[in-house]
Amino acid sequence: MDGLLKDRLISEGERIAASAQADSIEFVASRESSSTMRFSSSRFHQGISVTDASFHIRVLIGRKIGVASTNSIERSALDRCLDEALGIARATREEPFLLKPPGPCRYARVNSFFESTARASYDEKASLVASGFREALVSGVSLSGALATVVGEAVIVNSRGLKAYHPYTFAHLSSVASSGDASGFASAVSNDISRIDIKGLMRASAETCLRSSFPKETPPGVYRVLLEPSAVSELVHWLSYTGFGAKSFHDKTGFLSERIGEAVTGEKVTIYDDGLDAKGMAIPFDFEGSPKKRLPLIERGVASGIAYDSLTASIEGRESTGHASFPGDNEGPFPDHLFMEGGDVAAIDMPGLLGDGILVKSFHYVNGLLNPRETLMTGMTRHGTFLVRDGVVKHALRPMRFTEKVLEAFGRIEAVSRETAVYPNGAFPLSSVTVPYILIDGFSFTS
Amino acid sequence: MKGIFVSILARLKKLGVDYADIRHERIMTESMQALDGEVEGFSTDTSAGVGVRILYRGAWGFAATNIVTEESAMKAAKEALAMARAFSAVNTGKARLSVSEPFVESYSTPYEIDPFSVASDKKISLIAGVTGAALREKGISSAEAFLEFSRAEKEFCNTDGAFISQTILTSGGGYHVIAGDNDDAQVRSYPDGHHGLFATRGYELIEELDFMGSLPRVTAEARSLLYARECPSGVRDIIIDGPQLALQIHESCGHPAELDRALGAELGFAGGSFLTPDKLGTFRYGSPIVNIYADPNEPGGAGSYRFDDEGVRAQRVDLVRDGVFTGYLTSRESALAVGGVSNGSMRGEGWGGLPLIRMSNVCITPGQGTLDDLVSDTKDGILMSVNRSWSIDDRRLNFQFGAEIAWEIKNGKVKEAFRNPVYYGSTPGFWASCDAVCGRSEWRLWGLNSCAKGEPMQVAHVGHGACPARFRSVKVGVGKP
Repeated sequence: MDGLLKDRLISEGERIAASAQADSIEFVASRESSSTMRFSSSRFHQGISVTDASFHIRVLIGRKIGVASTNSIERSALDRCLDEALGIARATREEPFLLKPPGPCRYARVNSFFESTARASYDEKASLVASGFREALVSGVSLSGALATVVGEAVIVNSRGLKAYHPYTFAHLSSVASSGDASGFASAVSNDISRIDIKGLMRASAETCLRSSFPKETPPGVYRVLLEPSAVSELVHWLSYTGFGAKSFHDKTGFLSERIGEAVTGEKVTIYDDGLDAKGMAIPFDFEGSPKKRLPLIERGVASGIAYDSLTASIEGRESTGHASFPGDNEGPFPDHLFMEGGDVAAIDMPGLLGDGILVKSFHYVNGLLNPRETLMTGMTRHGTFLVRDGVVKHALRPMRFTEKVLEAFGRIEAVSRETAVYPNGAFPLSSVTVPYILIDGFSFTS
Repeated sequence: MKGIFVSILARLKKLGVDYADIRHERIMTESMQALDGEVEGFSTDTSAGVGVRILYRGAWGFAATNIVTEESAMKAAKEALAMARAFSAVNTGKARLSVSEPFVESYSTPYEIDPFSVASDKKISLIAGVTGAALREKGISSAEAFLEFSRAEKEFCNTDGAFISQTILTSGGGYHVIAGDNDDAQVRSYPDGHHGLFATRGYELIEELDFMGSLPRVTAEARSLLYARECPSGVRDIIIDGPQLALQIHESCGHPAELDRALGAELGFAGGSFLTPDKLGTFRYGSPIVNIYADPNEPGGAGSYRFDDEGVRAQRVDLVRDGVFTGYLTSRESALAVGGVSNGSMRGEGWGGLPLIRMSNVCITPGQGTLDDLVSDTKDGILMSVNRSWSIDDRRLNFQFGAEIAWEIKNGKVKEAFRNPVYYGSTPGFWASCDAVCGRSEWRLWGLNSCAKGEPMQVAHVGHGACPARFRSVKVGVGKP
């Protein structure tokens, strides 16, 4: 990306928002340059560099809403985009509610931009990853994965006087080591690439892979499990997708519908969203410019909140919680900076507390749509499943399928680690899910 | 753009590239949704850009930009070259390409009614009308409808001398209704889940779907699910209908037959494939009546095109013939691993997506008879309809799929409805149990707009020709131990 364009983006936003042709105009811009260096069999096989932008314009004429977007920053393209949004608003029907975009806001200071990430060259990144390849060769494992970096900026301007700007960077390494039937996984995400121990993570994935060798079968059944953060992150992500957003709450498919204030899981479970916590790819505002703030979702097992944007909040007669996606996104708002609160046990002590059971490093292809009201989910274990006896790993297990009502299972949590780890959550770089290790007394493996 | 392409490719040749191609795309999209009788969203999007892919000393680089000028495209080309250089300095082994004829052609997918020319009010009335009417039905708590249209104009040029322009027009839509009370919420979708049905056709597709005509059946089925029994667990003969079989083909045949996946290119993300090259031509994938092919030339398929994003002409390939695994979806590079040339399966999402091996239209060859015939021939079984959940392991073997609704079959008759039906198994064993596939009259092209692959994740439109089929002795239910 040719540097950041703060002034030009704000200036174009102000120009568009100043148009007198609508009752309200919002300009939502995002520019990003990403590079993804993918590797397989310990060699780079794909390199992808993309520079793109999106300019969304949402207009209100009375109670009619029109949205248009373009990826061109040229003035003529933006003007055409405004005309299209106006044309849609004139052609569409009146909504039964009045959408209220936010006015000028004060934002918390959040630093998500790191020169180390923005300036990292292909040669530097390739060299770091290749040093991991050489170590893996000695270990007898093969490495696959990706090192991705993003440099971006977001701008929101609207005709009510709101103006917001935020530059950011993002770096993510994922490493999968494999050898025959065995595999291991490690990953890290940060705004600052210098905080990612690339070689160390690749080594960690190789070590897990080697421990996963010669896996044995164990019959389906209900087992005590120790889920490592990577596995927990999948479950919390799916809880968010199926139940923490306003749309599933409204249409009653969500597990929190009609249940706010009720106990929905165990007391050891507290899940919240906090876009301002630097541990979780922070951003000061959502894509309507509403300020980010902590949103309790489940507090000590009790259903506490739902994510809203201005649109769904208007429908329900509520206030936005600061979870708007780009205008025109029809999936509705979701919490995008999820945290599951850590507990009081050191992670290193958790296998001992597990005693006899199964240690799961990661889940694969989880699906939470079997019965979202009951949080019934299924998925496979992956990259490290181990049988534990008397707190000691005995041997690796072949991947197993779980099918479980997750909030019921969370009701059987016996221990939660102090330590947490952060993972990307969805496609947008500035989103995350931060979770601890959890020990559950009874988790169903079905095949 | 041809002049700009030729100029950039000539400069890249002077810089010593082994191979390069350039793809320019401009994609216009219109989408609208209605919720409970009101317009929920109505938007348009225009996205244009240029992507340059380079092979330099056996290493790949790809860079794309949204600034469509010669200067910016050349800058992207240099970015791709810089990445390829960095890789070539540390990589072992070199990528090579199989030969491909340098076609100079143009193509547009046919259609009858340009959806972009249809009055907005007509489209809005359709989706607002069907969701409003649904909400007036007893027991229906919510209804949502979708329409989406896109026109992708593509130009492709490579250092072999190809120049291809294509226009792909896609239409799609559908709706779902939710029957909900305080204890449960059940969804029924039409004509398929996953936002309906997509095809490389015009607005005539939407008119043929007849949303309003289907509504009484769909709302009645949703309502019935609130009072239906949970689908019982056990080993049962099952019939899965066209949309569900489409998903089964997608996950358990289409993805594992992608040769890049089978060679390990996705091991770092979604996983590999049990269909490894040593199995080609000999592995018993299913019963002898199972025949599955991929064909980008299938008229109206969501995954239809004439040339792929490497400039290779679209070709039909038999993936499974008489139950035996016989073919892969391939690219110019991967085809060399199985001693062949590409069958034209590389597509990138828009201008910014690196071409990957993608399903086009992966279809089962129809057998004989109607669904009624098949039900009549089934003494004790379960009929499942329309996909609701899907999960499969990282080699595409251990799967569990759920449907929106099921019905018990007793002595050749459809009986009571079941809610939350789920079945599971292992791919070859499941397909080996297939003993009947319905005939051409029950076969149709289903189309998804959301097939995900790669990093950064790309989504593709894919088609699946499918019809109801029967599978014997399948594990049904969530498999509680």
